[in-house]
Amino acid sequence: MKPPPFKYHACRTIDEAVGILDSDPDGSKVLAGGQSLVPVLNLRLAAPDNLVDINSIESLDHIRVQPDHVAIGAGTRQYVVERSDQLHSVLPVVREALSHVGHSQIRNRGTVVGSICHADPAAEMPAVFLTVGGEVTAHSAAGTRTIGSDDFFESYLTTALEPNEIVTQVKFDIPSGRTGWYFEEVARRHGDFAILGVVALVSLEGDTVSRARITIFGGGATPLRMTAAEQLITGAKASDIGGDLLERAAIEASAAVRPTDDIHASADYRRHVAGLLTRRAVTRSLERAGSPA
Amino acid sequence: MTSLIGQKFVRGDGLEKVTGQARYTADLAFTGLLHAKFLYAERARARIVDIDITAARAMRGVHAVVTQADAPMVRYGMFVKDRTLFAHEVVRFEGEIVAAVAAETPEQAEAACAAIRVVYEDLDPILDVEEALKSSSPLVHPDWKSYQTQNGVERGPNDCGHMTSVKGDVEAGFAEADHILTETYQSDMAHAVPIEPHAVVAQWQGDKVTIWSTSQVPFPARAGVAETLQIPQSNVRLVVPHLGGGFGGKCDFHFEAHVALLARQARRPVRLVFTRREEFVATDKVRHASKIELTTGVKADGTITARRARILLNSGAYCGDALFTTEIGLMMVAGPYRVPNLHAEVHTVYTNRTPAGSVRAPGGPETCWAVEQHTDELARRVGLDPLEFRRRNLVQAGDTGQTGQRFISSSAKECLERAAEIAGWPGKDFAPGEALGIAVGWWFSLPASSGAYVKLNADGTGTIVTGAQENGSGSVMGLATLAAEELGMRPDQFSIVYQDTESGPFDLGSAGSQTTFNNGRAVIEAAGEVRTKLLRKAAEMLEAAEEDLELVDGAARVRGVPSKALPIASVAAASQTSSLLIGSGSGNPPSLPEHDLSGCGGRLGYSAFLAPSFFCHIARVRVDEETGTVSVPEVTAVHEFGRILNPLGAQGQVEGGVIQSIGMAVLEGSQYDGGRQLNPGLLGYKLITAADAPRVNVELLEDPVDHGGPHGAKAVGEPPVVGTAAAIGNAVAAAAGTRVRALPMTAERVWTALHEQEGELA
Repeated sequence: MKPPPFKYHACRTIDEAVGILDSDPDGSKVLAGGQSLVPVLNLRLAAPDNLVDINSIESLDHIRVQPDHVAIGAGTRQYVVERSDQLHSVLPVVREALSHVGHSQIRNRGTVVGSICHADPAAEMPAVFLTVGGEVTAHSAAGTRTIGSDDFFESYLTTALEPNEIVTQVKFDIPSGRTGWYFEEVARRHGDFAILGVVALVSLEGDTVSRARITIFGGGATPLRMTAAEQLITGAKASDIGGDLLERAAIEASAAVRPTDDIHASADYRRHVAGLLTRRAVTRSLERAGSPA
Repeated sequence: MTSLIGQKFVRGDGLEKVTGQARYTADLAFTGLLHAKFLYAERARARIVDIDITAARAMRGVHAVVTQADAPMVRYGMFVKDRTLFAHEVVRFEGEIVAAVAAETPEQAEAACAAIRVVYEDLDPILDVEEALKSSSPLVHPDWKSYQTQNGVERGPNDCGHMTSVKGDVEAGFAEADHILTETYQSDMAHAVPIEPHAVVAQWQGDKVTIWSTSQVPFPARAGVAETLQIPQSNVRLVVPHLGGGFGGKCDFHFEAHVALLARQARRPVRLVFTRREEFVATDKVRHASKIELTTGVKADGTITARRARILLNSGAYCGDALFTTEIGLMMVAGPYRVPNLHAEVHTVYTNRTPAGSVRAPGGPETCWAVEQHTDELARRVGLDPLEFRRRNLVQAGDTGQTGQRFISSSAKECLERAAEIAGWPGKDFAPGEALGIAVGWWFSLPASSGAYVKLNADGTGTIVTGAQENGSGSVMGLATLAAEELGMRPDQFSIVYQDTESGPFDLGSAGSQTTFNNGRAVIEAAGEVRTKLLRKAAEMLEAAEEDLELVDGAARVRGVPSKALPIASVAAASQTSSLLIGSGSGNPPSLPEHDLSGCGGRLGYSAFLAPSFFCHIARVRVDEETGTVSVPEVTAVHEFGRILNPLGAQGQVEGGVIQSIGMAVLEGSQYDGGRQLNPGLLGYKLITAADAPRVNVELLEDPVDHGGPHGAKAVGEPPVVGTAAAIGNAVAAAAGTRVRALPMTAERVWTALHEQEGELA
């Protein structure tokens, strides 16, 4: 199918884009890489009157690696982020996660910010954002505000953004200390949305887990932090994190997800995989953090 | 001059296809073209109380609305005449066509379909094959007894074709056995999924209609139009522009008559192009969901003594061409093994689901998968390596098959040994969760009538006019090599006129891997006639004896005297003032090998395998035992095809077949909620793509046959898809330590099997 008729705006500046959104907040959609929006339009699941194309706004195309965070512009393609060695050296989980986003053709066009704002609960980048922590910068006619990663995802394809707001960049926090990471997803095929996946960062101070962040995606209406499992291992000595603790973390994770049955997998299977991937995530993250566990 | 046979060549239609210049049916445009849309039942089983098309007919842009009331009351069907063009009084599956509309835009046509008011009385759908066979079951076709059938079809209520294959004394065989193993395997419905969806354009001129269609079988499709519209076949011209793949899904007669009816009523050309959803729901060619029960007796040394088999095929609402699947599936239950005592039966069961039929190697992959899983279980039972168990039971020259056909030659063992060697059986240096799995099988070559003309042109080129259909495999393109070989010319000197019922002689179409096998012989015969005429004319012009001449490098010359030669162009030009250099051939089909059908019932002509070919596939898989995820990094495929005419083409068929089969093994399959498909689209129905394709090690063996295809060739198109799922299944079982008895072997099914095993152990 072809999309229903819409008015197309090739914006040159953020102010221009924000102006259009403000004039018709409910009838406008922002077009970045278009890898989710265009299929949605073609399937006529959305019928905006105005399509606000931000691809020509040059200031949006950047990656800035700072001591405590990485800023990625709303126009930056996934492949640019994936291939950034500088970013990789401080947040290696991003490259691994991006390699599972569709296929290279899709990543050549798709943007990291676009994926986060689309907020598909089975997508990789929203889960990465929630795990590493950080904020998005949102502009509207009323001004600029930031929204933290913990407050951003509200429900299925729904975020804390107002309809008249446009995200110009996302900041990923760079973890301090010795941090290990893990990414894995179970999908029907390479490049598909995950049946279930996990993203994790585990930091050590000495032999003690100082911070643990574990996110399951594909297990509910948003990516979900496994807070109970995180609490179980936080403060524990890495050398003590073995069979029993891991098993308890897995049970917590299985209980924390809210999956549904669909044609690709049952809710039971997803619950099982949530526990399993949590266990793997803790184990491998600790290994990567350089602990003997 | 070296022979062209076995040389690589570049196919004639390649450039236009890869550069996007090739035109397909949906690309055709005509002045005044209208767009067709179908109204579907969207329910599994119901009685039609009323159809009201008045509002639809009055809508803007609408030029025709047709229902069964506008079509001759003809029941059609290849084996059982059980179907009408449009629903008549009842609907039997969700994709049943109730009405069709032609309008100026597709949107108008769709809106008019939505405006047709149909009142249904819904009935409980018949969905389960075992239930459907019970005498208490309601009937999908209450009037089944009154339907006409092809000779020999044996039926029952809700069973549109049952057959048996009987050899020896199965009870005596079981009595000799040291072990008897019974298992049941099930497979889900799988689809052909060609990239190009079905499309049809029809245009009338007087009482003649030209139909451009995405058919794999132009002549049978033409016959279907003539039969259902009650017009002479000669009033129907069926043309296939480039075909964008078929995989069996475009066999048989489909939607040509519906569009022709619309075009006749509208007095305008009409085009139908299917959506992907329609491809899944409304076609009547899907791979049957099946249930396969196998009981086999073996001696302690691994010798198979007897097998009992029962296959239930879910045929959906209509029979279509399903009985090919029925009989071929039956022929696969013994595998390429010596099974001295056999009793096998198969039922083709009507249900209220999308009708099943030909998909590349109908009856092959699912039966081979079940039989080969069973074979590994038998090997385990007697404590033999799967390779050794097969060595002991494979057919050899001199053995007889399940219907008593004597194997003149068998490459089954060569394929097995060679594949084991390439794959490094039993394998070593495995990563965690890795294992190899092996499967063997056989397939047949289909003898059929087929015709071609060959002519030489004054500029020294040739033209082949054939009835054959190119569905993408390259088999029609390869005909040029066969003609060139006869005439001492180059393949690229031939143009080919094909897939137009008005020009080529009859051919069955691109089905049953038969194009090269049958039409190749026809082309060789036609080129042979041209060769005779060419030599006669050249001898006259060169003042030499015909028997002293040879045709080499585009010239007729006196053997041993290269200077005494004439370009073929000169001879062809000179022949235009005398007798033309034209020829025709129909490559008389060889008959089936002698066999014995005593005790067998319901058989329809596939009761012995002509020029059988053999293969062995070995898959390396990786199973994550905790998630059940299966990946397939490598498949070794060894096939014997008699004589390899075109190595590039044959290798492409094997690589493509293996990769396609991985989809069937681990990904594909329709899921149902009652009578409705849950995943009729490419988001929900997962095909394998390049990102997950394995490395495929292909080796082609030769064992030319006397009564086979050109130069001793055997059929190539279908065998490559038969064995891969079976090899993957055995590898999964070896890696996971448990067997998955359902296709596709999805991660969740593997996980569930592991889970159940844990439960058993606990």
